[in-house]
Amino acid sequence: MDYFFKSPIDVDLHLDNEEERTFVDYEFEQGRKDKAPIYESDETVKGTVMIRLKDGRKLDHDGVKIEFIGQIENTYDKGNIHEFTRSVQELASPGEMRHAQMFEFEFKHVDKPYESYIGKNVKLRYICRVTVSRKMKDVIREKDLWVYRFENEPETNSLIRMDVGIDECLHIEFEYSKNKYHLKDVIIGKIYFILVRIKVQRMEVSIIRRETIGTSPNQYSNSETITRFQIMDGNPNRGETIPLRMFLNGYALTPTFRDVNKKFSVRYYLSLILVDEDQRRYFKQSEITLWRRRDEHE
Amino acid sequence: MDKLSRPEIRQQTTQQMYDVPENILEIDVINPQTHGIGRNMFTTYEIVCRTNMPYFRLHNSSVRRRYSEFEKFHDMLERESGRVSIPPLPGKIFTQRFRDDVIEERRQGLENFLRLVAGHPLIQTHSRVLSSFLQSPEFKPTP
Repeated sequence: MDYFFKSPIDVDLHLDNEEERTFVDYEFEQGRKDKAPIYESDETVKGTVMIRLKDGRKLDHDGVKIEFIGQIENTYDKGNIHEFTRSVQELASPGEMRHAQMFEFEFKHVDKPYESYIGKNVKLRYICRVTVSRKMKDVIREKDLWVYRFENEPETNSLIRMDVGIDECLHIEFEYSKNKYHLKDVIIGKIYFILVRIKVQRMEVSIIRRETIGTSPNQYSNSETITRFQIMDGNPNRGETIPLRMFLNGYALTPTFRDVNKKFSVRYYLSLILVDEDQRRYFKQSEITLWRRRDEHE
Repeated sequence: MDKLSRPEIRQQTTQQMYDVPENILEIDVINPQTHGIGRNMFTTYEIVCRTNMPYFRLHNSSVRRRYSEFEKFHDMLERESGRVSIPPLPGKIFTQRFRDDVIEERRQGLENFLRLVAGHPLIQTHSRVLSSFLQSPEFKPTP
């Protein structure tokens, strides 16, 4: 979104049915929040561009075009932007504009192969960009769209069950009902204590997001704890079972992204953590797959 | 299928429910006593243990150790353990080592050290010296 201090024109980009769409709030950069309308992966993107002249001056231009761009930005490596899709529509050929004009555009069933994502070191965005080319400097106006990809119930969804511990000290068996959860799902599980010789103070479950960018050997990751949830306070005895019930609805989660455009991945892990009286932590991470389910009501 | 129902849970026996947990380990360092005369004076500390953990031979024990024995024990632990970082001992004292407050400070330091070390699950399960240092009447470290 470039605004020049002496732009002779006002360019307004409006998407059809913007008011009727659901919006998602996102934080683009430090503190800069915005809203974007949600589109589905094969929906047509159409709207209007309104160009108004200021001070009654006429405008000489080298063409007006609108582009629909999908790009992956590597914010860790500034300036590294990779476009994975781009469509162009010419709105006006070079000439002169003497009064305000409105142009309609339509990107029919334009394919948006990936879901939008804004993470710590990488962003995947879809942008509508209007460019009014001029000799001096182009006037550009952009609008972000947000794309959701919905999936169907996975065909297989086995439970996660593991036996872990430290020989002679601690031995537990934990179970999570499924390994694939949708974003409004609930994680149901249990932790069974087979042997407890440490002085347990508490047990927690946390969800960790790991964002991985690039491919080996130039691969780097960052992890973020989305939430931490205490499920037990105090020391359990042998044979005791602690239930787990965790509603995913309230947390800032995205679907699991595996190797998007061979550029980045976002994976989620459930971490089961036991803390003893001396604050030593014993933990086991298990990966879970998150997916976006189409709500019946939307 | 009722997706929100609790998974099947194994029944815990009453004995298991009310059993004493197997993690009792109480270590106190008490009763500093000075022995000997003149240049051969030294202080010993009583180490009292109360435990039900299977790593220790005795459920109750009381032994006396002097600082140099703690040092040998510390060195042996460092050589034994691969991944565990052994906490430091309270430092050497050069002046006034028989003064009450100095001894008291050392006693506290030794107690904290022992509690940290003896409470570490990897040291409990892998150390060959822990049990003998805490409970053998005499500490005979192998060089």
